[in-house]
Amino acid sequence: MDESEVDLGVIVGSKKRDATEAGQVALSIVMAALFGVQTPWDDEQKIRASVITRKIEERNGYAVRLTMQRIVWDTQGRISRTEPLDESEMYQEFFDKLSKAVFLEAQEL
Amino acid sequence: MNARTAIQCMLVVLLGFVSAGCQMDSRKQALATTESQVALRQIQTRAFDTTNRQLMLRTVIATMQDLSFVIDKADATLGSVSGTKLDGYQLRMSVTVRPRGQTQLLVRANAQYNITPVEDPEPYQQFFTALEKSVFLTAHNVD
Repeated sequence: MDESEVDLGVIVGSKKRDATEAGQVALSIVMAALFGVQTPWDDEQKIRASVITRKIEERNGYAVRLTMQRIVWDTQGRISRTEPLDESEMYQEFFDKLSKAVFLEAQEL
Repeated sequence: MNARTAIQCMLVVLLGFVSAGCQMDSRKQALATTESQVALRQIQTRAFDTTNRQLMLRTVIATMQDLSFVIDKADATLGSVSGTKLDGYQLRMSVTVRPRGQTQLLVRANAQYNITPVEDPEPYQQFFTALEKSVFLTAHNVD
């Protein structure tokens, strides 16, 4: 958790994860074997997300909106990619997990 | 290469940098702008006929999300929101909302693209156009 602001319903979080992809590593090995050139591959990534909540009076509930992005560093420590994460499946997965969490919290599990 | 030739080469290179307009002291970037203070304020600021600061801050956040920003920080007390958009570049933007008289709010946006300040009016106009639409939608509960 990086930031939170209760009055505006803002929560900001990030996490660092492995960004190695087999295809890139294989390509690098092939390049090294053929041309003797070591090409870097994606090594680690920082995924950032902000979640904004707002009360919907007429439904007696809350609207939750999420945006995500990531920064990827290669094996030489250079930024190789900065991009939004906009696949709908990822957002669906987040909201599925959130629904489950709300249920578990309500059950006090 | 003797010492004299080396010094001459260095001077030529140095003169090349100076004549090409390269900066000699990068620390001066700290307070540097290409536009005047008044011009920048005009480009970056709009007034809105509302006094609901928190609603405006929430609308600013929603508009930034519409434009693919991830929010970095928000402070309701100070009336500021900052966010970052990543898409092969890094666009950082801070927006402040403060009262103007008894009936209006002033919204000021301030952006930097990678390591360059955004001082062109066009992107700010685009942001405020999007914000105007959001304020209208929020006011009329369309979403």
